[in-house]
Amino acid sequence: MSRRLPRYLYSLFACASAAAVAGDLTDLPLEELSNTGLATFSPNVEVSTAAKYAQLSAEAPAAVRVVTAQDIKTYGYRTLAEVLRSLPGVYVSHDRNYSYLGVRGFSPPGDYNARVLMLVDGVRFNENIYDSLSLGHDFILDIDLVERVEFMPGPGSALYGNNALFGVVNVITKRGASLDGAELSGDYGGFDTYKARGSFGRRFDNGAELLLSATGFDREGPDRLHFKEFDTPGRNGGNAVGLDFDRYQSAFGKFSLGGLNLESAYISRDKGIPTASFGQAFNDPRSATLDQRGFVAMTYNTQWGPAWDFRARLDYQRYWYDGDYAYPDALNRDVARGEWWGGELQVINTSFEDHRLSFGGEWQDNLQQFQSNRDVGGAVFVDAPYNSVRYGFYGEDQFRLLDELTLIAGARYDYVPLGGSSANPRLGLVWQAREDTTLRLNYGTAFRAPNTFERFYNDPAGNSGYKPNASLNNETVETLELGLQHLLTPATRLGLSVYHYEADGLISQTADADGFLIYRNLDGIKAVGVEADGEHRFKNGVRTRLSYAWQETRDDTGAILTNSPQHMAKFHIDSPLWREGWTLGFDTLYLGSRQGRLDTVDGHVLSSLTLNSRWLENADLSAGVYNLWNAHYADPVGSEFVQNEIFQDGRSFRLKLTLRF
Amino acid sequence: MSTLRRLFRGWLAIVLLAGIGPLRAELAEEYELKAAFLYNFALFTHWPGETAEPFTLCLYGPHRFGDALRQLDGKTVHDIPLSLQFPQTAQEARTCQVLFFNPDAVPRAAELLEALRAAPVLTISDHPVAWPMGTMIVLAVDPQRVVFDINTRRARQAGLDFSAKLLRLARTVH
Repeated sequence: MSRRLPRYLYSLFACASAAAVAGDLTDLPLEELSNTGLATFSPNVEVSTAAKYAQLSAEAPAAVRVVTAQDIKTYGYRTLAEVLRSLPGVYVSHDRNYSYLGVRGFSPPGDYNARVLMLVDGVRFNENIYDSLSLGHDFILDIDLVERVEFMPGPGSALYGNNALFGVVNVITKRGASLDGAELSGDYGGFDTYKARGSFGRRFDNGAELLLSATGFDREGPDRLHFKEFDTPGRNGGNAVGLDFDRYQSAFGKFSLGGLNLESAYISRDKGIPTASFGQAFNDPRSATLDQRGFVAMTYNTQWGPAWDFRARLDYQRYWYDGDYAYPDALNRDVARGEWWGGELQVINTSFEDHRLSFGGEWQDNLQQFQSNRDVGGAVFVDAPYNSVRYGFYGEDQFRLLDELTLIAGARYDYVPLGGSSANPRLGLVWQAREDTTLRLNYGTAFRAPNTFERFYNDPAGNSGYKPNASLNNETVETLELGLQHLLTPATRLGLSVYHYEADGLISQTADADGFLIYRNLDGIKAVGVEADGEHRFKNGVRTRLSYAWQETRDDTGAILTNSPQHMAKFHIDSPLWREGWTLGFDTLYLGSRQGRLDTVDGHVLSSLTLNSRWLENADLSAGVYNLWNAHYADPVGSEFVQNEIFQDGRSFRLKLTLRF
Repeated sequence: MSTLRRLFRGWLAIVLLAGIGPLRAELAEEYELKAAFLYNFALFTHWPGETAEPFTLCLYGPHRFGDALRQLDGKTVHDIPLSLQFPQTAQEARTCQVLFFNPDAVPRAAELLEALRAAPVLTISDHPVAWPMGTMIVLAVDPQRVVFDINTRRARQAGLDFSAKLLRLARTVH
């Protein structure tokens, strides 16, 4: 077999070199220039997550990963979870309710994504009870409204403060001009999935832009899910029937004029719980969660003279959560209400030759951080109102020591009432060793304060199952990372990153001898990892990416953490087809085996194939197949489940039609 | 073993895909594309009064255009022959119709822009730091194509007008 491969490869390269690159570009109409793809990798990609202002990727203190709207379309990504898991070293687990992000080998089951910070258009988005971020169908934006996603792996607390322990995700939304008209989109997919979206976007003569959009989504899910753990008499043979439904309604609006930007978003999402988690009665149709998020943000950017760039933001957000948990003797209702407003001021100064200084302050007034847990019409287990104010100050200098060597030095001080104060530095060197080679060395620390849930979701008697721990402290992580970016040819990029981190006092759920759960600053962990990736752009427009990540994340006892794969490999390829608007995208993700709570969870290979077509000028039809090989795979889950692992969906498809007016 | 077999099947699919795919692609090198944008910006901008001859498109300070500039040989802008200039000082830079610069590579770029505030010079850069300085057009790589932002307020102060088409294709218009 292997002897035949070179022949395939030969035809591949022959074909690639046959396609011609445009001749004199100056003769092309401006529209076509705007649509012309880059044949080579640029060190000048604009990124804004590494420094909190726009800069060139080669100058950025961290290698920021970028996924664009075009990638989302080409590969048929349906959720932010699918976008993020396409990135080197990133994985996502799903427990048939929420999705959980794994970065740098860290994603302990039972954790609610509090160790990665999410921004929406630069605005902090983690809510104020669990500090969680949402990635699946509970994410506030329809993925079609995302212009690009930037991901900065590694510690981000020196700029962003709380929660930016293992990475920062920045979701940047589309603008009115990106739509330039009305759009209707409808899709139908496997497991009885329907989605409909109507959007309107425009840029007016004065440069003002408006975007309005609404989406409805309904996924009925597999008719029945079989759980062998519940396959006992009286439990419907271990079949949960019609309980995996997932429905949401969401809306988004955005207005921008000059440096002013106003946006608002809302989502309400209902999810059935088929897994009988938290010791619930199996196959009980009452078991479901409702999550709602509301978001209003204003950002303003202006200049004072040629050297001062000033940014301000103000935001107001709400988070509602109602969980109905069904037990034979009662319906238990779990409630969280979060409401907060916050602001940030930032100045960037370029008066000093070779220095780019940025300073800022951020505060968040948590008007409400309320939790309760009670049986409907019965006993109250948790009733915990709370409110708090947290703030932080930061400063950073990007100092060009030499033409090709930049020093990044920054720090941030934060005060979060539940964890006290924390100061986190970042020191980095970016060395443009050669025209085609950039080296980065970064040292940084990051922290996370105990969240409202960990601190207050309990009662002294332990009736809620949880006991309080008043001495809960901040957890911290200290990281050293070496990164290399090299262009083998202008159209071939190689990246390598080697990191080491030590985490201390990680806030973990533990069970006391009396059987009650309690959060403690427990584990220290040590991790080493390597992320390597390569990308090539063929002259014929075919793009390929290959990445491999190896990581070893161990706790104090030397054991590998649960839900921490040691190996991950990803392959992406996409190609334009014969006509404009036609593309084919194929990806294969390999995730190595992970330790589950009770047993090892096998590794798996997932592939998907997406064809985008344009039959009419203003109609796009996309067809995708997901989990192409129909792999039977599962994700590890935490102690709130009887199961060691939760099986995921088999092969499914999606057809999506988008009309533009 | 089945994992390996699946990976191999995936690989085969890919190789076939790359072999048949590739029939339509408009691709260009970054600076070839940026040079073509520069020329188009000149075409779609209106200068006040009579335009001096020749039409001077200046690249101030170190730049990475290299051979991509050959595309501009023998071109005309509004029927006036285009001349490429490489000013060495800020003083020289003021006489250009179009001025492209890298704010990181020339001294006191912000002051130069301030001095040019009312002069009919179309200022262009491809570095995001040039935007807060008040550059009229800033190019960015996004990362698959080249996009640009336009500062119309600054252009108006200098008496320059952009065509509707240019404004329509801009990523943002301020």
